[in-house]
Amino acid sequence: MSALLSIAGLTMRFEGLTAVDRMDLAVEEGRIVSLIGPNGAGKTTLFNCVTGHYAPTAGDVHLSGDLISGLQPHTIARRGVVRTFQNIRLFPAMSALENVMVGRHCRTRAGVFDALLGTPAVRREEREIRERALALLEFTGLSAQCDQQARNLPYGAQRRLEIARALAAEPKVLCLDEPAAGMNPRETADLMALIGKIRDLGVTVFLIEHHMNLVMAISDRVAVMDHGVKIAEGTPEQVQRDPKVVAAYLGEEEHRARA
Amino acid sequence: MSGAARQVLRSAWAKAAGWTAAFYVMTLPLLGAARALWIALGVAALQAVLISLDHLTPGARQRFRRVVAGGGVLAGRLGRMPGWLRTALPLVLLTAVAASGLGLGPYTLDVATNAGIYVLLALGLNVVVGQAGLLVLGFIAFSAVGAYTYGILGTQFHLSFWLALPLGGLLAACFGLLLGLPTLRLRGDYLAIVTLGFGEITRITLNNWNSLTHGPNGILGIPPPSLFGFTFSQPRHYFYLVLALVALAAFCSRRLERSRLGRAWVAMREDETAAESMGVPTLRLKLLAFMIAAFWGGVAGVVFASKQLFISPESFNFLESVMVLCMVVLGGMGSVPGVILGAVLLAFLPEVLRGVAEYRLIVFAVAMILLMQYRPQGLWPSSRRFEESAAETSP
Repeated sequence: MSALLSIAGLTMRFEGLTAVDRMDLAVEEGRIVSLIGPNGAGKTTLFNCVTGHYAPTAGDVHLSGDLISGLQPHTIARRGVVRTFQNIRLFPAMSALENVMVGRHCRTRAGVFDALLGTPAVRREEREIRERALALLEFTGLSAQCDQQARNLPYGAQRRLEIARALAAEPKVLCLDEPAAGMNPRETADLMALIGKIRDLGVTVFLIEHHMNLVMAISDRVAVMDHGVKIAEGTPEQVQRDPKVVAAYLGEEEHRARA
Repeated sequence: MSGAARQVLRSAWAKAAGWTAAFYVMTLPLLGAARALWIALGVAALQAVLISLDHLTPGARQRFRRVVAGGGVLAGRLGRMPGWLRTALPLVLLTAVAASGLGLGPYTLDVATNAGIYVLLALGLNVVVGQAGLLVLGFIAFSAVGAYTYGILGTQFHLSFWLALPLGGLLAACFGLLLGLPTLRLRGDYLAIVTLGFGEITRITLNNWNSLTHGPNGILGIPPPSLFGFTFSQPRHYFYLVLALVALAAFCSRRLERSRLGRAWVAMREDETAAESMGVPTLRLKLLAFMIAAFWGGVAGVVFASKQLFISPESFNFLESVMVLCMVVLGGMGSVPGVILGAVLLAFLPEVLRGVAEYRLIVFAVAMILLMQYRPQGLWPSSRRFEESAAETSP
């Protein structure tokens, strides 16, 4: 079994602090793989290394066998690893539709002279961008809000819009950084359904999440990080039973007291 | 009146008194005691009006803002007009301006031509400041590159104006590339400072490279443009040349604004990190904006040289860069019609204010301050920028 995204010996050090320490992880194609762990465990740092926002201190990341770590974020997005952000980062004054259209940037080609001349090919491309964006808005249930400014959308809709925008870039691996953060139970349920639909499209989902019900319900595989180190990995059931995981979440002291 | 409100009032009046005193002290050595007093009294009166406005009920203030912002509301409506009208309106305006060229006197035409050159510069700067959201302070240097390209090649090698026009633009774009490659990784203020330095270095180089540029003496006897044996000699000829170039630049700006690239620029302006993560190559797009802006700067420089028939480093000082930036900000960053309006207004303002010559700069400054106070989004903002600022001002 070959992994679509494989992380090997990844280390990220900031001055004296080692945020991610020799992390290994394989994300297999077509799966939903979740990364969990207490706050400050280094999950988002790992994401930042995978998507090119940080150049890792050591170790590497391969996508379908090609080295991608150390590349620019836009190159990595183009190769097929696209992310969302823990704190929503939409283009606030653009409409929902325009936000998704920006996501098509790396899959389209029109340059300066094409734009100036307004050739039929460019117009066709522009139409295609719009149609794909509208289809994705429908997919994420945002059709009705398509002309609204992103900043005026309700919180849950903003989260889904970020996912639609990322999908517009046709990712092979979609990295979701705490997509359920701040959502109410109803919105969380919708999100779970959406992530399932995305997997059914054939997109591999790499997920950071705190919401345990969500993670355990939809993940094919779960990895647990604490203090920059992977402490457990396996199916949701295996991970839930792992004493090291319980310790990380409940705290060393309590665990020892209970044992 | 509650205690808190009284305190706010007191501090506002204190601030007003401070400004009045500052204006008095600053204008004193320039204008003498009596005139400085008048200026200070004017400033005080103006602030009294502004402060009283602040004490209107919220409803009244909003109505007032709406009246002041009327143009913006209009612009918002214009943004929603049907497609055929949006194409037709600029054409009608262009025809009207072209027709008026037949009736105007040589003096007005000359002023209008200068205004047109400023419009070219402002449209160029707007690509980088308004669309890509990068603050560039030494923009006039690109114009100097264009002007000296034609100045040197035109006098020494008899290069045709029509070849120099694109060549000057391209050369300026190359300078844009050279400047942009190492500096565009900088953000905000740092970029502004580096571009400011570039502007000054260009001017100082032109001033000192005697063998090539004749230093402060400048280049004399630049040939005017000629076409099939017809030589440009009257203000009217230049007027139409500049008008055609402005129309071309406006058309190109519009096309780019509505393309995939324009969209990516807006995204980059709003959130650079997010844009980069979505696969937008931000560095390359910034360079592109830089080069396009520099291109129009260079073209404007070639036209300027061919019209003045004489250029010297003095024409490309820092104040010119500031002026062009003011035009973009005043008109409305990122809005093509706004930028044209801003450039025309600021280019004509000195002519209108000729009667109060010595107060010109003060009137200018006060007008700018007022404008930024009440319409920070510019006179004719792009609909997006207008919404941005509307969202900021509403509670």
